Formats: sequence, C-alpha cells, structure tokens
Amino acid sequence: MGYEVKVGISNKHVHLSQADLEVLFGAGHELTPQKELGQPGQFAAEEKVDVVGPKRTLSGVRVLGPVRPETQVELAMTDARGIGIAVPVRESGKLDGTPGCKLVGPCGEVELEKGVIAALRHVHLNPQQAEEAGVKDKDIVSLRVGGERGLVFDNVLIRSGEKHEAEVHLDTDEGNAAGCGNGTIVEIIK
Amino acid sequence: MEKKVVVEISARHVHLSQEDYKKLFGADAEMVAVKNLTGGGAFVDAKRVTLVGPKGEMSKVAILGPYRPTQIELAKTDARKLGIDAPVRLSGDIAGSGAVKIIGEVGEVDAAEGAIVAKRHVHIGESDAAAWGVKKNDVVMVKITTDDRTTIYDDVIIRTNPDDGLPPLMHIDTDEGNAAGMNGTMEAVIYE
Repeated sequence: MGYEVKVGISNKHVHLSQADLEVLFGAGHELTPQKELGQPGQFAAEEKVDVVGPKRTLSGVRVLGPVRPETQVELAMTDARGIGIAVPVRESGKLDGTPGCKLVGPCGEVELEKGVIAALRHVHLNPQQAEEAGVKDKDIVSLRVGGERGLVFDNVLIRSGEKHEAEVHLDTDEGNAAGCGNGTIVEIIK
Repeated sequence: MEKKVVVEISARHVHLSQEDYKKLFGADAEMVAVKNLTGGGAFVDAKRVTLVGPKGEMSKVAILGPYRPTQIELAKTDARKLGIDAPVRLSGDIAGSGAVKIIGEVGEVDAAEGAIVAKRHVHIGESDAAAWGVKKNDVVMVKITTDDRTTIYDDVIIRTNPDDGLPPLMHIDTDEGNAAGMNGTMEAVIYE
C-alpha cells in the first residue's frame, strides 16, 4: 500500500494581488474570510468576481485568500473552454506565458495580461507526512484512485513545507473523471 | 504486441427516439445528418436541443442519430450544473437513471430517466478483439500520455462489434479528456 491522503476538489477560483483587490473592491479593501480551507491560513473569501473570456463570462467566481504577489485565475479546462480560453496546465505561481482575461468586481475591472491556468495536480504534505510517504518537495508521483471510475493520475507534484497539511488537490474535471470528491482517500504510488 | 486505441472525446449529447424527435420538432420532422461520426453509422443531426434540470439549463446540445431510445449523455460537470443525479452507466443501461427536460423547436419531452454519465469504453472489431484476447464486457486499463496530465484509466469496458475496418476506439467524456490533458482525438495504449 502507498501512503494514503484525502482529496480536496478545487472549484474554479481566483487569487488576487492587493492592488487588483483594491481596483475590484475599492481602495483599502481587505478580504473577508468566509471559510477556512484545508491548507493552514488559506481561506475562501466572501468576495466574488466575474471572469470574462472572449466567448462568455463566468459569474460569481470565488476569491481565495490571503492576497498573493500576483493575481491568478484557476479554472478547470471545461470552465476555460466555456469562456473561450485555451488554458495551460501550470504549477501555481508559474504564470509566464499564460493567457489573460478580464476580472470584474463591484468597484472596477482588471484586464489581466496573464494568470489563467489549469492547476497542475498536486499533494500538500508537511515535512513529517512527506517523510512518512517517502517523498520530498517537488517530487513527481502518481496517485491511485479506486471506485467505479478508478484510475491512476501521473504528473502529480509534491508540495511540502511547514505550512502544508496532507491533502491532494484536483480540479473538478479530474475529480469527476475519477468519480471522487472531497474526503475520498487516495494512494500515493511512486 | 502494443495494443493501441484511438481516443475520442464525447461532448454532451442526446440520442432521441423517433417519437420524441417528432414531439420536439414536429410530426413531419426527420433527422438530417450534418456530420458523420466514426463507427456504426452515427451522425450529428442538424437540430439542437436545450436541456433543463432543477439547477440550470444548457442550450445547443447536439443530437446524435440515427433514432434510438432517448438517452442523454452528460459529463459529471454538466450534470452538476443542471442539478441532475446522472449515474455512470454503459450506453443503453438507463433504468432508474437521471431525469431531465428536453426542449426542441415546437415541443418538450420530460424524460423521467435516460440521463447518464457514459462509462468509458473501447469499441473493438471482432478480429482485433480475438488478437488482443479480449471479449465483450472485459475490463482493461488505458494509458493516455500527455505533457502534464498523463492518466491511466482503469475500469474501461470492452464493447465488441463486427469488423468495420476501424481501429479500436475509446470513448471518454469531456471531464475525462480534460483530466488527461487532451486537446482532441489522440492515440493511447492498453496498459498491462
């Protein structure tokens, strides 16, 4: 048996820089936490924005906090195609050469030149959990998912550090393809 | 022997009985093929329908001909958006599956069942099946290799057909294609 980790499904969401947050929601605005997420310090905010692509708009897309150095829009490929964006698979924060979009908030709009990605599937582990699993930060592993849509995902990135807690992050396409949801236990295989 | 399949992604679509087609488009309406699909004489009809569920609706959904018992094939992403509980099923196995309203140009059909998420499968001619040593309803694994999202799909059902000159064809839905990082039809291999 490989090391077992629970799944967290990431729905489409937006991370904002403080500057973009203030354009969208007003000068001096701070995010209002609505719900804690699986990773320590991360939260779903009350704030929502519209993500505008060349073909259509996704309304009411959740903002996640805290604010980050760069604004990033994480969409499943289904979402991205729906609004007319060909989205690359990227590790969070690696935004060079990614497509942009327009964000619309209650106080203004931001025209992003880059920042739209489909997140590279990954596993968060704290150092002790990584050691137990026999992996380290930046390793690429595979994940076995059981059930009626059982499969093995390759190209799974290990992200390990003190502020991480054991959780596999898949997007909605991946969760649906594997027939799994929040809390499903999957296995790291190497 | 490397066993190869051509993987095709099925976007959401409906199959309609002739009776339902006439309810949706009129007593004199007949399907008109605008695009032929690989295998089995299947085609895309000129008309489109709108699907309505408890939570949302989807317009311009393709109709695939020829006529057959009404069945609505959705990705799970689509089913969630519509608010429909669509089970993972093989095509044709629709007893107790999801309910959805179908709207056409002149009428509506309230399908009490028929909405499914298609179970991934491989269509294979009898000669190829014999060469591979597989038979109908066997389960195989298929490895789809892409730059960032290589995926080995388990629980892939074998469906055999009389030889038709086509290579083995794997059918998956848009969620599955996206999860494997696919951009269109591509080749994959049976994983053993």
